[in-house]
Amino acid sequence: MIRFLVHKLFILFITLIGASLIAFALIRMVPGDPVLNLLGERGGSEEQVADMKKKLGLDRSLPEQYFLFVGNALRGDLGTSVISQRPVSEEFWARFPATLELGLFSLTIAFLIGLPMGILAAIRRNTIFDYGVMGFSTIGYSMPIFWWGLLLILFFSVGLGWLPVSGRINVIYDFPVRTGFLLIDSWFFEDPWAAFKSAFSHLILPAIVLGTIPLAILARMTRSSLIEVLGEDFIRAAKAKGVSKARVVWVHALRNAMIPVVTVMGLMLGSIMTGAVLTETMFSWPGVGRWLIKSIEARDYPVIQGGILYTSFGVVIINLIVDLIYVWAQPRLRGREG
Amino acid sequence: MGNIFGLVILTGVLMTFNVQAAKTFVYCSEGSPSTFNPALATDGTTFNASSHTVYNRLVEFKKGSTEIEPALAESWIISKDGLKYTFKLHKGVGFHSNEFFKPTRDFNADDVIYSFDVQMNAKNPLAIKNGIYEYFKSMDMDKILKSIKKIDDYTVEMTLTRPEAPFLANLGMDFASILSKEYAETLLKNGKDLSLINTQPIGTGPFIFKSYQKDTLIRFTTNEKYFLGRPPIDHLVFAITPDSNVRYQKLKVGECNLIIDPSPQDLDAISKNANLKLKEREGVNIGYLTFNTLKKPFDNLKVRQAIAHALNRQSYISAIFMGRATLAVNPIPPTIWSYNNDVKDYDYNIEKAKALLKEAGFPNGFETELWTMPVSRPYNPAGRKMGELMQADLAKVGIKVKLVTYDWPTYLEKTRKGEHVLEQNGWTGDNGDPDNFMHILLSCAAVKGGTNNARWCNKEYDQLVNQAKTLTDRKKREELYRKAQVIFKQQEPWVPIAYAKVFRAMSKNVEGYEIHPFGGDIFHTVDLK
Repeated sequence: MIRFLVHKLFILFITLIGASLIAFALIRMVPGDPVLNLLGERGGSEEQVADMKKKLGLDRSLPEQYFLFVGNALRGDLGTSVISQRPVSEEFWARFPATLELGLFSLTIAFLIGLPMGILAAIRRNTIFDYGVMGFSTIGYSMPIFWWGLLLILFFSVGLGWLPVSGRINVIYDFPVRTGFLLIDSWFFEDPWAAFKSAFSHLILPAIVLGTIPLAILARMTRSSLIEVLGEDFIRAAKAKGVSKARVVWVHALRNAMIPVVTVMGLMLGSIMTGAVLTETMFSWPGVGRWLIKSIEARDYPVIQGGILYTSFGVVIINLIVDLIYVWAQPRLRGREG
Repeated sequence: MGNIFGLVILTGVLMTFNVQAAKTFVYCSEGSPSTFNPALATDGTTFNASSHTVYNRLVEFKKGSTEIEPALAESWIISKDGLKYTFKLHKGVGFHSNEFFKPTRDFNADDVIYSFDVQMNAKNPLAIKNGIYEYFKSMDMDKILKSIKKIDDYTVEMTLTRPEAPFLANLGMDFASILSKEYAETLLKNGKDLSLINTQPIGTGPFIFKSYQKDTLIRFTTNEKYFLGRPPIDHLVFAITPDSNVRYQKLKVGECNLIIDPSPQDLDAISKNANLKLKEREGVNIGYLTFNTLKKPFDNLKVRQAIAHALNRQSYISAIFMGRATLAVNPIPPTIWSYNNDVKDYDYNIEKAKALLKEAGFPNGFETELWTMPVSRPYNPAGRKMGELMQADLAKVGIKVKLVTYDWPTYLEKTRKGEHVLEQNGWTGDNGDPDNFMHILLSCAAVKGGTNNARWCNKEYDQLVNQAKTLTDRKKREELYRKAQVIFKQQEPWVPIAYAKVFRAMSKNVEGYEIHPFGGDIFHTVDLK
């Protein structure tokens, strides 16, 4: 187990070096730079551009810039945003809780609905229910996010007036940000229940929109994986032994069927951590995805490098956790390395 | 039981009453400010959240106008040679306070000198470390402003290196906002980082900065002691909402009181909605098609004129702007003084275009590239779509156009290097002076400066706009600019397309709001009825 962990951590380190190098190189291969973007239509003389580049350290050679970045990153300093002139880490941590809160909430919805749907569809294969679930998940998977989001806003917010249009909480609730998770922070407001309700109701629509694709994938994965396991010999053996049908499905089959599902869930959590650009934009959700895209548009080099480093770190850590769950679920793997 | 029920209702009523008693105005803005220090920014989003709320300038633009009026300076005298400006400052103006700073003195000459000196003198210990005071330089202020001197606590004298007519208007611009010197000194003395000025701003303005949640909202409270009169609202909230469709939906359900830039396709519905109001005004902007006049065949005047005749620009106004823009003729919009109404435009005439092409030696047309703008601006909300219309128009006279585009920073870099031949571009003015268009965009100096994308350098035109820059007599200047517009039109280094209107939508109960000609949003006089 220790060897397994050490091996994984080594891979984690290599992955981060690779990610930082790719982030660094890619953004510099694209034409345009932060200075020209700052100047915009306004232009600016050659000396002015050179002066600004010098201030931002862009006049140094590329290897010099890279090693400076890595050296500072190892000391925990990811540099300063060109646009806001604030530390990248501060900018990241100001947005990450919003992304995580939305991501976890939407995955919870996907899990609570998608998993039972998949299981029931597998048990009642080739019934109307099964076709319904499969049809629903195909639609869910292929629906354009922005269209789906606007449709929900039009129906639930503008039409019925049940849910707010966008944002994280009604602006009248003014309380200090402690954890960044509004479902928690709202309890420190003088009227906690009202603030919590507001934060919760703001979370519903974006979480549904963001959770739709994971839900569809989850339902399909669970169904197909469970059907496969149900056809295996040991299930037949269990049935022959006279184990009840419910016990066969819930205890014997499901645990084995969950292995590919956990992998996919892990990958999904990873991708959700990097922010959901469309959902975040549509619901004015102040998350990491929107921040990164805007930084790419502005060629804000330090933010892009630092942001990618942070998010790849998150993805790698989640993968590590998924691997550990794997080992737990399938003891056979414990002996292996990697 | 009935009593308890009554009590509950009463409490409910009282609570609603309490919420209504403090007037909160919610402005749904389009983006996050990059900083709250206007001297470090160049974008309108930042200015709305900083210079228009927290700060004042020596002089300011009159509500809804491009005219200058006194603000922190009560009055001023300009010397005969146009080189010395002496300002008398307003007395008894207090700065805001926050957790890092409580002012011990009122605004005075030291604050004025500090606010400008940090922008021109990088060695000033109070300057923001690595701060890029971009706008100040791009307005050439570092070359124009020779020195600032304190005569007494309430008198400041500015000396210029050359007479510069737009100077006073420059002082009304956002970058010239007055910051508190005492705040900077206090931070330094207490071992705090000077960059707190950028995140926890202190000014003299109508609203006091309270908090900013990144990409979410900005809170301001009213400055009870505002020297130009307490604003009618109590709290001002900027709810950052980047998607224009969503902004409109939020306005409909009452989550916003006012929204910036509604989409063109929603304008009709807004004006028909009894609960909403739509305000519009002529903008200070222009969208145009640039010829790279250094490249063949666009170095040929006849080719440029032929294209001006070939483009059915009126159709762009109706298709792209939904009719809510004015056909552009001159390089400045009619909202800027000296606009020349007598200039004759090139009419839409395919036959004339063909004849001109023939004269120029292209009887069968030619092939070329057209770069379309990748970002949406009021003066060009849909670059690609407009490009397609242009492509169809030019095909009719035999010019085969390939449409090309890049993402915005790439586009800027390539046009700066002059790699383009035909390119869409535009400009939004920022101080109301004709110089702000006619010199910055079309002078010979601007070819080097990187703002003259036509790379057009006409001796006669250049002389006129350079001379106009140095005069302070407005009548004489007007005459020169009017002449320059005639030369521009005859030479047609761009085909002007549109002067776009600017829109704001708001709920019915919003009063006292006026769109600023430069497109900024100012809430000092706004009220909720």
